[in-house]
Amino acid sequence: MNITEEMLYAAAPEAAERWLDTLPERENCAHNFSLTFEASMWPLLEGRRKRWRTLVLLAAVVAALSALLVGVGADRKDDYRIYTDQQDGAVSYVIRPREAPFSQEPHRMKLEGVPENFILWDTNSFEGGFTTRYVQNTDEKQFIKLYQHYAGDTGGTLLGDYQIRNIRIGGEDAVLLSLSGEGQRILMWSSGSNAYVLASNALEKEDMIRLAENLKW
Amino acid sequence: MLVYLQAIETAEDRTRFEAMYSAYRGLMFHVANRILQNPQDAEDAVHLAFLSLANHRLPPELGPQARHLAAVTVERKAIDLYRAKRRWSEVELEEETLLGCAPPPSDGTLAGAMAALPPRYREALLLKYYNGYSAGEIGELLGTTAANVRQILARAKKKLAAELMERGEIL
Repeated sequence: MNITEEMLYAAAPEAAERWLDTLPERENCAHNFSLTFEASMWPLLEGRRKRWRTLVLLAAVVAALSALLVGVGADRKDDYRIYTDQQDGAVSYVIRPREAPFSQEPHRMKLEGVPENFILWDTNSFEGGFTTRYVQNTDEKQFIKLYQHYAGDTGGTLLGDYQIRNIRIGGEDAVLLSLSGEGQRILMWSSGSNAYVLASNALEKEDMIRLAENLKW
Repeated sequence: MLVYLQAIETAEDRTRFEAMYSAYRGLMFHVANRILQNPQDAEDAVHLAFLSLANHRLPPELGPQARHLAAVTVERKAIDLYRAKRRWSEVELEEETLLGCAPPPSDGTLAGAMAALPPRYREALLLKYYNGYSAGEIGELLGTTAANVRQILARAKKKLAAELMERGEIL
């Protein structure tokens, strides 16, 4: 017997449909991705955005030179320390520390004043940073997690209907993201040569700020 | 003008990638987690899949072809990760058993037999005949060479023919 190319092309859509039917629908696949994942995706998404912005800017310059009649502006945020951009249900953020990265051995900062019903769950290192996670002793899904980046800029993209508030931590600009309805909050700030992200689904805004202001060497 | 056209093309490319990221990352996690049974590993597989997709020709709009591409790409990354973690060697039978769910039952039609093939065969066949990718493009997505893809396609066709012959559907 012989299966021709035409037969394969004709059967392929139905075959794909049958296999796809074994997968759940999109609305049944909700998953809260970790901040580590979001951060790892950031260069991919942001890199493409930057390339796109550059080309659009070039196109604008060409258009401006040609016409010489229309003013074209570009919103430059080169000197940001915390930059957030919200569109299409996603928040992109970049945190740039005020000072240059450490030239000496980086030091893990400690959270002081963590509520008593939370226990230290794990500490990890990744390229350019540390994480420290606490979980509630009665419910491990309730967490407080600190990301400390000591090697320069960091950023990510968070999907969800976040409310963005500009606040101050230790006299520095900070940004608090609150996920509507789910109690998840993410606080971002920089101090010295470090950028910090504090995430929790268990703390109120005031507790997040208190922890951020009391980091210990 | 050249710059302008290039900007439009890149903007479209960016939009497609971000649309796929927003639309299918949950599904991709589900597919990976079904295989790996570990959320952290599943997220790694999703990340690896997007790294492959970032440099690939993507379908012009969200729909069954884009959904298929996303699911197949992450399925392959998850299987590769599963093997790497367990140091399993390449055996197609193992792929069938490691997956957390059974393939759709074959009903004796060519489409049914294609859908029920072991993952590696099904992936290569459908990426070629459904998504319209060349052997080189499929190789980049699945992490192998174009020559190997051609070999997989040839074996897949033989297996299909044998399956259908067994059922006496095509003589």
